[in-house]
Amino acid sequence: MPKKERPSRFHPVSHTMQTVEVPTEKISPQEQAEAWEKIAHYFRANSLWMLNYCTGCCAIELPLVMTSQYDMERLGMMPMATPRQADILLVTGYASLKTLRRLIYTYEQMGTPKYVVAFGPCAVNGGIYHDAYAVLNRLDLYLPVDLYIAGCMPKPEAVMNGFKRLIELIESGQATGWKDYERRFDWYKSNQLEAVGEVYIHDEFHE
Amino acid sequence: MTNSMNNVKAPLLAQIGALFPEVRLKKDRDREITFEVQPRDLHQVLTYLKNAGWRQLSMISCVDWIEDGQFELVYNVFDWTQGLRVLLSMKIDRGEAQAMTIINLFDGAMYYEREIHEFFGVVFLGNEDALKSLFLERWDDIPPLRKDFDSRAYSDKKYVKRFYDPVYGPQGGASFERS
Repeated sequence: MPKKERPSRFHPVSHTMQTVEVPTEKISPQEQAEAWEKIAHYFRANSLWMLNYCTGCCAIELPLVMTSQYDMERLGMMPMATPRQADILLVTGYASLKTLRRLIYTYEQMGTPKYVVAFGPCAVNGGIYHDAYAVLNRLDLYLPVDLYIAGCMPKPEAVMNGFKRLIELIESGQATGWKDYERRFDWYKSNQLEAVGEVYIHDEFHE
Repeated sequence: MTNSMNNVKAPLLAQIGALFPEVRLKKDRDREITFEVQPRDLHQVLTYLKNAGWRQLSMISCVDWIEDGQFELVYNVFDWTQGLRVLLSMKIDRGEAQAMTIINLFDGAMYYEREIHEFFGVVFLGNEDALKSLFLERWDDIPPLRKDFDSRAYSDKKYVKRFYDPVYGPQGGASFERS
């Protein structure tokens, strides 16, 4: 009986590197940059650090995803404690006014490339908190979201599927939210200021 | 009903009845007694309870009785040796919304009073720190847990919404186009 073929993503050992065709004639700097970008995408997709920061109730699904039952480490993902060394920012559920200030702080501390994954309907349109006095309805106005994971709250299977999709997006160069944030920085900033008034966080215990 | 709790409750009820004629027993449950107190009696009742063993202030909560024009402040104290909880329910005027602070009796009351001031607008006299904001940053409306605060209207006014135009198919199902 032939051995069942499994997706290579789950077998890092058998996972072969993509071949990049090396042209014989001279190539332009533009093409060179594109080729390097492809190589960079490949490595980015295979080593992802997820920031250990959660906003809403969807975060309760993450322990299962991170630990042995679903084990996101087989996708090449690991949790990271500091935003300076993390690649992925998870917005696990609703973002309140107070949270958005911290989210912006966190997102801007992360080094590029960086990706935002939003969980549940709350990040899309407010979900069940659409009429709450402190919950923002549309996250994409304030941070560039690369991927939404559906479900209230998304099951660990859905989260794993979402992470696999994110890896595909990164590998194919479609997860370009961070470039969008740089390009339309003024637009994002004006939206943020309109919503939260002032991004600066006043902390009575440290001021 | 006779049980072991009566040994604890009976002296408490007798003492409270003797010392504070205006304090009324409101509800007597297994391990939880609720008294109705007047604002002028609150500190004396709390002092008596603290000396008698109810050393922990578990929480202060607030209820908005908008039709009666009153706020109800509930002081929740607990005695760990007897396992008995005492609730002191105090009604204050909703328009004036003032109460005396109890931080001189229980230090931890500071944050409950700040929270109640922030979410209900009750001013605690003698606790100036309670006027500072605790959870809400840059709040610009009436306190949000008052019954006359319209959460949806505030949300509609302040946050950008996402609207959908449902397109109904021949079988009755709807597909949503993002606008």
